[in-house]
Amino acid sequence: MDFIHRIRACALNSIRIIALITLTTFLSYPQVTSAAALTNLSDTMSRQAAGEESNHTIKFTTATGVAAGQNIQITFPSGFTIGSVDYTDIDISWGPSTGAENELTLGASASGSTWGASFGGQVLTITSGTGTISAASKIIIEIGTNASGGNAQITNNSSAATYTLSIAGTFGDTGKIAIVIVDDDQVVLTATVNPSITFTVSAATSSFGDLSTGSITTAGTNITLTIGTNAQNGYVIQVNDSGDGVNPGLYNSDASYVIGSVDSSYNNTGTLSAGTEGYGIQGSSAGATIDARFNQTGNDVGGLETTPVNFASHSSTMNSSHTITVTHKAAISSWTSAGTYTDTVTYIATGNY
Amino acid sequence: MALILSLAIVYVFYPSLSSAAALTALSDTMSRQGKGELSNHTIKFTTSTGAGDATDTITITMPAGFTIGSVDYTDIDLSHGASTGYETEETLAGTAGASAWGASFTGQVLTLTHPTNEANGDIAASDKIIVEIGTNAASGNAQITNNSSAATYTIPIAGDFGDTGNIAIVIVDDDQFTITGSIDPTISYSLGDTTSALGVISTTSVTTATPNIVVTISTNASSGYTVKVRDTGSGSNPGLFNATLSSILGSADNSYNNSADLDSVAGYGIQATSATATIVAPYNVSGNNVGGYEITDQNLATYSSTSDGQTITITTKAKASGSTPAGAYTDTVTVTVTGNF
Repeated sequence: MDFIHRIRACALNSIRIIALITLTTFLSYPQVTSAAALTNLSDTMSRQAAGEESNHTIKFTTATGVAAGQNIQITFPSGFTIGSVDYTDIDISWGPSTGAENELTLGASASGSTWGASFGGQVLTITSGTGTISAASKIIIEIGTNASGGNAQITNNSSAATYTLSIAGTFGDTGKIAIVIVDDDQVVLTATVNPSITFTVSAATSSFGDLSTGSITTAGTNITLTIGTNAQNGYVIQVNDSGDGVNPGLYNSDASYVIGSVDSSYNNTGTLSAGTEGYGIQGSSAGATIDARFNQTGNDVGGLETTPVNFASHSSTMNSSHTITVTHKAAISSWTSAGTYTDTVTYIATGNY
Repeated sequence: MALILSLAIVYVFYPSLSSAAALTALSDTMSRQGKGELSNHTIKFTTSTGAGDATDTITITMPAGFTIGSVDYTDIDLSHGASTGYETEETLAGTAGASAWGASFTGQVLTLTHPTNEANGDIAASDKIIVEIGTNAASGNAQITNNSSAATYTIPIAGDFGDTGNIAIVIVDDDQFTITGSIDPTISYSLGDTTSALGVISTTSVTTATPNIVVTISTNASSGYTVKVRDTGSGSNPGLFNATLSSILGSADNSYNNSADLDSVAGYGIQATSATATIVAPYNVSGNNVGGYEITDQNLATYSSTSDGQTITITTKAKASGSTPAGAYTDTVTVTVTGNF
């Protein structure tokens, strides 16, 4: 009877062990869905010319998803130089809508929730530690300087052709992407902007009328100079007068007498005063820089020369035309010869290209 | 004497019979021969006797294990004729009528019954007869299901018309094979030119670069392709750039708007056209309107299906202002093409 009990007990224990093994296997075996073809595959590159460094933005949709411990392998075609690209040059995200919803934390190897991302030859292996990617997710893999913190890029094959990236791995899904490498992926546009300059003098004459010993006279018409140029270094406007042909000033040819500019000593600047001979100009402008000699106000004036001297300038490109107003002033003494005085003032505008 | 008389009586009163004979040229062409599959049957034979009496029947017995299902006269066509067998199409009904042949299954037996009006529907001696059963019949929508076991089966043909014959058909485990194949993804593109010159840009009219740049694309990507463009500009802003002067003619204008009408403002940009691809805003413009470049990739054109040699033409336009510094300007435009597999 004991023998029968022992047999029965042995049989029951065997059944229990088999049941336990079956249950353990069922519970611990990874949940695997059927492998499938990847869909919506693309690889957007930043450069497609032979031998150029390029970023890659690889997108695809996995029907199966990735379980803990599984990997995704992306094989780059031979002839593409991986160089120093490592996990710091890679971003991976996934999600149900755009694929950018969940950003993975990457390391050189998988550990816990950190995913491993490393190249072995041409093969980029992305390995899960404990992380998973749901079925039917979009996955985006950025490789190169398009990854945050990325500073290395894959170099394109040096031969123009169509190449195939293969995607596989233990996650089970597979797919291929074609990329094209061309001899030239850039167009160089050339253009020329010709130099241009415009310059106008608002009036050809201006009159002092009768000069008086009792006051300083301003010519009746101020002259407005208008200048525009696309010279990158702007422009210079110079001025000179005819004077008596030797010295600058208002000249009475009948009397061979000149009212010197700026005074009878032909100083560069001076302050006119009633009863003392003198003649000169002032300049003012919102845009141009008036040379110090002529940047005067009140009864201060700059003296003209019979050779050109700088009157106004601008040292860079212009966004609009500049206007410069020229005011002419003169004074005489009691001994200034009577008669008619004239002076011809010439303005010269030069673009500095 | 009695014997002679008896023979005479028999000779006089015995019904006039043509001789029953073996059917010839028998066949049953099936649409499927895999076990358990639904199949059409096209049964052909030649009757030397014909069927011209109101009581004539032709019986076709499908082998046991073949499931007749809902097949009825609407799933059957009967024709006959001297040459092809298709010359005369008979009208069928569930039971024989004055001018219609009856056609009905009882168990495995299909009985075709001559019209009740003997003047109608005769099948002449030596006619070829064709019986179509299944969706191959003019209005057929039901089919006989093959036996679920692979073997050779016999279809006997008999009936009151007198002729008889058998047809062997074979049912096999597999009557189909599957072809699999794959086509690797491919993509190619090319630029018609790698340089284009605007020449001297006018300040008063819009200048167009020559030549236009033609991008030619082929891909077997089922979702087509995307063409993107970007320029180098000054490195920080898009446009035609003079590095010596650090001067830029902005794209699409000097405020770097996405688009510009160069009739009204100074600027630089492109238009694109294609007979097939969809040009994306702001580049789908004409006249002197242009879309502006960016120094990052911008979609220029898309197509949603496979393409073989599709072209996109890029036209470049520019206009300077009076304050655009004189000098030589360049810009480098990068074109990328992505297949959407």
